[in-house]
Amino acid sequence: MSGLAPWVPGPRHIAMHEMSIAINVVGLLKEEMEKHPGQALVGVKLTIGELSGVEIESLRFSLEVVFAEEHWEDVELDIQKAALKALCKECGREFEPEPADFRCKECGSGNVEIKAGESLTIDSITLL
Amino acid sequence: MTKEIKIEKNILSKNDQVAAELRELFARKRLLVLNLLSSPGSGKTTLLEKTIEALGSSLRLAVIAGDLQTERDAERVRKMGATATQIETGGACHLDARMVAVALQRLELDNMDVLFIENVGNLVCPAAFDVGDDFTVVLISVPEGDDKPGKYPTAFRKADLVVLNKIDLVPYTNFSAQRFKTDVRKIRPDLDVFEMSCTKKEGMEAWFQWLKTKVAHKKGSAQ
Repeated sequence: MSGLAPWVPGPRHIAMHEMSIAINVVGLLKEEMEKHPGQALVGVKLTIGELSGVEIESLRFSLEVVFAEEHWEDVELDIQKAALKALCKECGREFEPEPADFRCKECGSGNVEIKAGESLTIDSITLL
Repeated sequence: MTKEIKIEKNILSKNDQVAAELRELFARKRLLVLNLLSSPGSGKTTLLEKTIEALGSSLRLAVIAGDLQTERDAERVRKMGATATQIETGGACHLDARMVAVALQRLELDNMDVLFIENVGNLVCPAAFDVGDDFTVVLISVPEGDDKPGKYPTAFRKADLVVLNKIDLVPYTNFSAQRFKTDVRKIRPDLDVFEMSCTKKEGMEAWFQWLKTKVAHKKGSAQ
């Protein structure tokens, strides 16, 4: 980590963390595109967890801004929302928790494991 | 002809990788690291000032303060005798692992027992970014209202401890500490809520004790 350059705030660092997420997406996509020389990116599929703290519409807006810088204006964005899923470790029931209540819907236990809905993923890219 | 290629990559994998490196470094240094999350004005810096005042003679405390523009927060804790460095995010709404890694270059990790990462005042954005901490402390103050757990479940789900500050102001508001705690525990049933008033220095003993226990554990764990 000692080789890190000082962090310089720039115009893209606007007060919305979806912008940071979008910049990360573009970084990963560029790495991926290097593996496919001569091909064009035409589509991207993302999955955004309900509990990831990311607003899909803000992310879409941010991605449009950073995609434009890469001349990816025509890339089709498919953003899916992943619903919250939890597993009760007491009674074994799988359930979809309410946004602010993670207790098991069967037995009321709070000893639950979140199985889905927390992650931010690039699922696939489509190339031409 | 188009073709779809599966990637299945975590978008924050780079941040998580730096956070994992930081966590490894902190483990090696036996340094307890806390990530402080709260809204602006809920009393993060005051909590730090009073903590430094009470524990500064027995523990070596350091602060990385994230702020949009000013050095003010770092100056306040420096005045109390702690080491402090500021990350001016220049508008970014959260700290990420990389910003913390850069700020660490300005600190002597061997001369510290506890590092507080005072995140940017915001309950939404910082919750998405791992900064390599051992524990996330969510600080809420009474004037913000007792409905905050339901409004910011991601932050509370990430929390390891909740500090409820400014309890001396309860009589002037319709805040129900009971309702607040009930809602917190719907999100994380095992979460402790320490109620205190930092400006009045009331109710802070449980927090000090918690800190001392965690420091002792961290020191012991790497031996």
